[in-house]
Amino acid sequence: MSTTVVHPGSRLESETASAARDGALAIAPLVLGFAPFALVIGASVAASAHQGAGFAGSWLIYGGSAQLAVTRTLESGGAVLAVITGLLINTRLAVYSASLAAHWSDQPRWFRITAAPLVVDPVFAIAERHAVTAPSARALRAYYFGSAITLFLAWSVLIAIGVAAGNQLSGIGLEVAAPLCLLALVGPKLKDPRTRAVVFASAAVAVLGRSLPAGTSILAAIACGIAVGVSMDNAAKRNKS
Amino acid sequence: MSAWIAVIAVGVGSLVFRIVPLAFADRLIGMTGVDRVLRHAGTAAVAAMAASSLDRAAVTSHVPALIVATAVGLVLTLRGKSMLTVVAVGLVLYLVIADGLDFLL
Repeated sequence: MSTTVVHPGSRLESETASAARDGALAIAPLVLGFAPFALVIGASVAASAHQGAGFAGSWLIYGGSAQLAVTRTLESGGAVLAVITGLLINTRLAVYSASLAAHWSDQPRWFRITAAPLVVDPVFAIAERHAVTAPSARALRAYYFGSAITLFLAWSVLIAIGVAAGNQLSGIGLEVAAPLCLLALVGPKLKDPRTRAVVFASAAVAVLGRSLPAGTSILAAIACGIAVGVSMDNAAKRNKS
Repeated sequence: MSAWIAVIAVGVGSLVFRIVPLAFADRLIGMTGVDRVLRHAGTAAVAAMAASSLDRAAVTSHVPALIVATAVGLVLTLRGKSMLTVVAVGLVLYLVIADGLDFLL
């Protein structure tokens, strides 16, 4: 009779590989959803007078809205205005990082620092959800890097395709994939009355504030959502006491 | 040259926005009220992204088809279906309804 001895190290490796694969698979629908956006950015870079700097923004800025705004503002408003606009739009990344910090307080600092440059909207949305269900700290790290690196690579490739193909890929309905992905992330939060109020308040401000300067509507929406959530927490506390 | 400087400046600023809260998480967490604020910040951020993304999509897509795809997507989400299912069903519905409307009108 033969017995198979499973080395604890190989079990950990297999758990890590499996978590990284799950992360890559989890981000895949969001890659599809954000593909049209990347193609639009690529087309804008191709049409710009600063193609090298514009394309380098995919890695240096690594945020679609800010990159697009910087590329366009460089053409029309100059470098100083482009920097202010880009930074204003990316202020929300501080909120994402702070929110992830709350979930990752037991993670080592090396992970938090190496994970930080890859924080961007879709990765944040996936990581925030997974932080609650991760089976272990190690699996959480592998899952995060699996999803974040997949998006980073796919994003660069999609922008390069956008530069080459311009708007020729439009018209296949991909423009609705991004909202559907985000809807799938928000949906479960509608079951709890307290988070439902946060979702509705934040969504309403994001839509009503569409005419605000780029990026500020999202910040205003987040602030409003937080205010509603905190006031509901306070009300619940008062009712208990 | 100024374009490169602008892109690098925004890149450095964005990196600071990303790194500072995560690097100093241990000092941040536990401060009065911060935990509560951050718990709601995540939900609010994803909801804002979803709403503004839907709003943007409404400008460039068939609105009736988008409404149906979103409504069905929401029902599937509330029933616990995976993101892939929500996107696949929503996208197919959107394309079928948009093509149908194009054919009829």
